[in-house]
Amino acid sequence: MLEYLEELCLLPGVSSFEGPVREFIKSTAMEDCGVSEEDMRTDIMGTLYIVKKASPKAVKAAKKAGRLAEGSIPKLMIAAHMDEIGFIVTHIEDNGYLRFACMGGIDKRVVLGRKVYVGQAMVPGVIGLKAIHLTTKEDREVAPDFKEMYIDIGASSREEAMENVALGDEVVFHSDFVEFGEGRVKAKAIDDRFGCAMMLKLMKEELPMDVTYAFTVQEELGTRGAYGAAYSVAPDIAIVFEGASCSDLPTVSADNKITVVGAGPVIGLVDGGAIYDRGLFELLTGLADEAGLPWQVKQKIAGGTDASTIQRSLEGIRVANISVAVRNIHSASTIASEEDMDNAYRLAKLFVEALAEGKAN
Amino acid sequence: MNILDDLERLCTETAPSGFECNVSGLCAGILEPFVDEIYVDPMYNVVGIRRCGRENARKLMICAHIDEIGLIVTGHEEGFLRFGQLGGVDQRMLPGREVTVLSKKRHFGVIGAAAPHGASPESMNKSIPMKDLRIDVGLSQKRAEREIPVGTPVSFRSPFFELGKDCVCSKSLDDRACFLAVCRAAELLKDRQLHWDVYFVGTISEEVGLRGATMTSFAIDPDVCIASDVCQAWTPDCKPTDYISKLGEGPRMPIGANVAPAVAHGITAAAAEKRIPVQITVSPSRTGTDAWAVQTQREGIATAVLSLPLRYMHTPQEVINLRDLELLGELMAEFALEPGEEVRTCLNI
Repeated sequence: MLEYLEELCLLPGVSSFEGPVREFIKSTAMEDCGVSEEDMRTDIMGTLYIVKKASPKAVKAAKKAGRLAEGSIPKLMIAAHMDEIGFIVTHIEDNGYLRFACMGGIDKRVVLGRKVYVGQAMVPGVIGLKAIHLTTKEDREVAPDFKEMYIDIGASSREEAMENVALGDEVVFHSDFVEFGEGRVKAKAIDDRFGCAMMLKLMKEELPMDVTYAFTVQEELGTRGAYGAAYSVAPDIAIVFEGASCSDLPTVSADNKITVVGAGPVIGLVDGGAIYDRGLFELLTGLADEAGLPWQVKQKIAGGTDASTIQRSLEGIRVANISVAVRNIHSASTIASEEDMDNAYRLAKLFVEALAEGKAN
Repeated sequence: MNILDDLERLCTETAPSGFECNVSGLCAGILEPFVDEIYVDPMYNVVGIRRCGRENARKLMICAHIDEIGLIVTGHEEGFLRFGQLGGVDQRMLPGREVTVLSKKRHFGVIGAAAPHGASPESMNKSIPMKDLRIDVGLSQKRAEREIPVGTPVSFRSPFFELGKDCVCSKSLDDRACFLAVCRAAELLKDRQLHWDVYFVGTISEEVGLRGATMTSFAIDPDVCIASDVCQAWTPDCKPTDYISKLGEGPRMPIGANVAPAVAHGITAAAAEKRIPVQITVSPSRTGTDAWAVQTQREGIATAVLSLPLRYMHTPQEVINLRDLELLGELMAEFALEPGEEVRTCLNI
């Protein structure tokens, strides 16, 4: 499952600046997934749509095995968002420091002393932190507000800073890709490049039904790309691949952990934005049980996915969700389990095959 | 020497206080080409000596510490690690922080941060006390206990990179940058005739109580000692009383009880001679550097402090200016060559 994930996570793609991620997905889809330029479309906000037709070979095989629906097959959209949380430059001070605002929900406690890149030119910078020696114990008990923070790009004046950066430049975390521990990976933006990687991998498969893949934008700003996607694709069923919030630290009580890394894919039941289609939820859990795959549901109503918007679009759309638990979500060092990702992928493929078989009709 | 390459090698090495064995060899290797003798003592202090050739020569010691702040494993919990601190660590920068666990087989780790989703705004306004944080190494409890015993040191993991035109950003610039300035002074003094023997010293465990300076100054018994350490440079969140220097405006020298006036005069004269800008400030009493421990060693040693301005001290992303570092090295070398009339009269050199 690590295929594509490393490259995708390393790319910058702060909400509304998803270009580099979109270009990578387009070229990979053409090179590896057997789709052509005509199968792709980018909408006005930047969401990328790729239609992959059913594979005749897979259709034939499914038919032969009696695993293809007699009647119509529902129109399926699979969605994952390309954007990641980050910042935007709001002010350049006379002394060369940059002030910034958040793009997406970032915990102000995880950004101090972090390396970042500013703008398309990827100018390195660091989010400064007043030295411990200059603080009191009371100072250190408070998490500073974003408006008190600043980015140091090593410029000594506004003019020098403006040689390389401009107001409105995006700011993205630096974070390398590390495999560690017992099958864990660390990178920035596993939320939701994991979903993008799953879609690319699925796109490579020979599937017995047509699938429309929507790589959405601005999810972190309020699932804003999903509006256009649901409207223009108008699917019967949509499934969203996501990174799920996770607080499974030993210091967090069981009712607040939300999800647990390594406990299997998270199947969407209820979250902060959607109540997932009961039939599709049961189909997913049934498929997982049948295949012997572990699975979990969120144990706290928290977080949300593009499904919240998709579900209430048009006359209403049936939504489902497969996520993996992501530790330190919305920080530069997000962590997920390789096994969870592998199992999520197996489940996703079973789900598509089940739809082709008419199991959701 | 190549300042940038050597600085990167020094800063990316991991040596929290008490565990300097990782870095002493590297320090000695950088210093060795410029000195007549070199050794690493049993406590892992690094000492390089330039001899002036005189019998019973007077001695100048120039030192910088080679340890870094870090963490230490104190227990295991569901495969996560509990930890304490080595040196002054600000809890506000810990959640989501990447670390290298310095077990026999090193482990990557991240200090866990609970998801913001569903957290109350009040709780997010508070920083998390260190005792409530855990390091995630992705291991089961059994493997964590076996592979990462209690007492294993932990180093912050952060990239070394160039910032703007003249700056670099890294962990451990406090105080490897000053150690490199000490090496640079040694390089500038190579093949130069000296009035006294010069000891270039990398001290251990400064961050936990100036320990290496205490031992080495006793052992070396210098007449004069210059301790080189970093000092607070201005940042936008500083009050006027917080900072004592500005980045890019040259090394800084404090005046006060920890600084022998004759030595300070010699340094000022050397700076004037070489047209090196020096930021003079006042430290009434304790300087918070190795000089504080050295001053009261044996019968008392004439000490001074030369500092390198640095931003965000004790974070894994400190910032210095490379021109300041070069000027610091030049100034220490110039003082070693010409310590000024007062010091020379005093010491009869």
